[in-house]
Amino acid sequence: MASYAYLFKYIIIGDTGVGKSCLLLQFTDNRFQPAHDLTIGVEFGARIVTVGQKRIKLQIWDTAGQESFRSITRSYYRGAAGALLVYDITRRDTFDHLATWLEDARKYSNANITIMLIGNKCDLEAKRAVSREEGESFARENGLFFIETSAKTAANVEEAFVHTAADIHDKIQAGVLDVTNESSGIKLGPTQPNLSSFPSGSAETVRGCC
Amino acid sequence: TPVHFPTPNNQARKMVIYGIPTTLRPRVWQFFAEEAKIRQSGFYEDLLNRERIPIFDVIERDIPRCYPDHQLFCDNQSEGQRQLFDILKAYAHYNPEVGYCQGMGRLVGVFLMQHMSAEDSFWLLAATIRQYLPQYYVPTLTQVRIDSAVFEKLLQEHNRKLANHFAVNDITPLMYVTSWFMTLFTMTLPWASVLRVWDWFYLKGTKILFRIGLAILDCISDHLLTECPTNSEILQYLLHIPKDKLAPEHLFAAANRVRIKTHHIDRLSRQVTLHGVPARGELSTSESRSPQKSSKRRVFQRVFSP
Repeated sequence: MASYAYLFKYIIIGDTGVGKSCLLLQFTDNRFQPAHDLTIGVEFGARIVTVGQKRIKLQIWDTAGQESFRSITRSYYRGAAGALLVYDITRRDTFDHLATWLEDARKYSNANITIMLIGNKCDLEAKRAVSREEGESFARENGLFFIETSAKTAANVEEAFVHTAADIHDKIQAGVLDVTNESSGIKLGPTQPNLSSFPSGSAETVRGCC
Repeated sequence: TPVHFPTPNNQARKMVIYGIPTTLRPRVWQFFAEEAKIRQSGFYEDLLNRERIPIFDVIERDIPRCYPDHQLFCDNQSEGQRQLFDILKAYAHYNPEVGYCQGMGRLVGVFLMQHMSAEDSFWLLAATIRQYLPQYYVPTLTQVRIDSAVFEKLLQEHNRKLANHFAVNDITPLMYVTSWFMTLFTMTLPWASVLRVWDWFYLKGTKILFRIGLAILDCISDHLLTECPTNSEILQYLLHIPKDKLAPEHLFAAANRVRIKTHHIDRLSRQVTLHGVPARGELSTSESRSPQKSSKRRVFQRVFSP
């Protein structure tokens, strides 16, 4: 369980109440919790996915969405390989704010970060306020991936995380991302003991080599 | 039953050690926060009648996410949710510099759980922010960031081994103290510990945030050092500390071993502000964090004397 080829750091950003924590919970625990506590500061989750033949550990940072918290959230961009930028398809304002989120992401993260734009709550079709096409075209114009998800029904949640991982993996294969550089948001897994970048990875290393 | 103590200082100390009787707790908090200084009769009603402003949307969305497991607030038709909404709306009008910031609802929820009326809860929120946390919930979260930097220094002095372990694994205090401090530990500690920490906080001020913060880390330090080799495990644990590790007997034993002086905290605050960590000019860090004790002790004596 503990062994993996790479560790990718993700950050989930977007306005308050768009479903960031629910997406994380659905992805890591396969459940939806309609009544959950507000995220104050940051939350955190991890899961291993398989891309190609490789096991990749995703380490996901879920941030507070209220504007005040941006000053704190900015410190988490550093060293993120992937960002999930989330809006709520039933709330126009959360789509309108994407540009400022993107500006932060471009400014504070590394240049090669893979960004997935996510229109969440697609189970609420009747309340839709942002069309799919608008989401797609915003993504196209800004060089982002795009997907609509429902953290409630789990639709496309897995895909959003895995597709992002696949793109980061492609970038590694193509040599665009340097895995030895910490700021890339990628670390080698403990399966390669000689290359392990963990300073004190004893427990995982032991379990990892078999 | 009110207990007579020989000197005000002893009263205060004993209160922290033995706990305040439940029914007196709101009154004691009100007195320490000097709520009477700012309370204006009829003003809360007046604030409730003011116009809707954009921040209400944010408050509204947060209400169901404030103590969703507590019986007072779990139902969206409940009196508890309505009061929470009213109080936060009123505060947004009362103090436009702060408006509303996530985390404030956790304070209000505790007041309501102590069976305080909405109006009393509102004034205690206002007094608490004014007296202890004036720059906490402002849009720049200035004091949260300063205190986080101060906490990092205190941790280095207090538990160097753990501080190094964090540093090597890129764990900074902002990752965990943000929720500790902004919710006054309500998301982290078991209830039996929360209320006693609050008693202490109202008596001694924000110094208690640091002291309890360091005590929490002391309670879990061994686990973090031996069982959490990378930042994944560390964060996972830090953000979800098993409640039994922080039961009053463990937490307060640890807190009693933490010694920090207010003037030291003040000095560190000035240092981190000077180095530009979160500087924003109008900070009140040059003032001491210690609430003016003399007048409070007198009030306290009045409350508790037979």
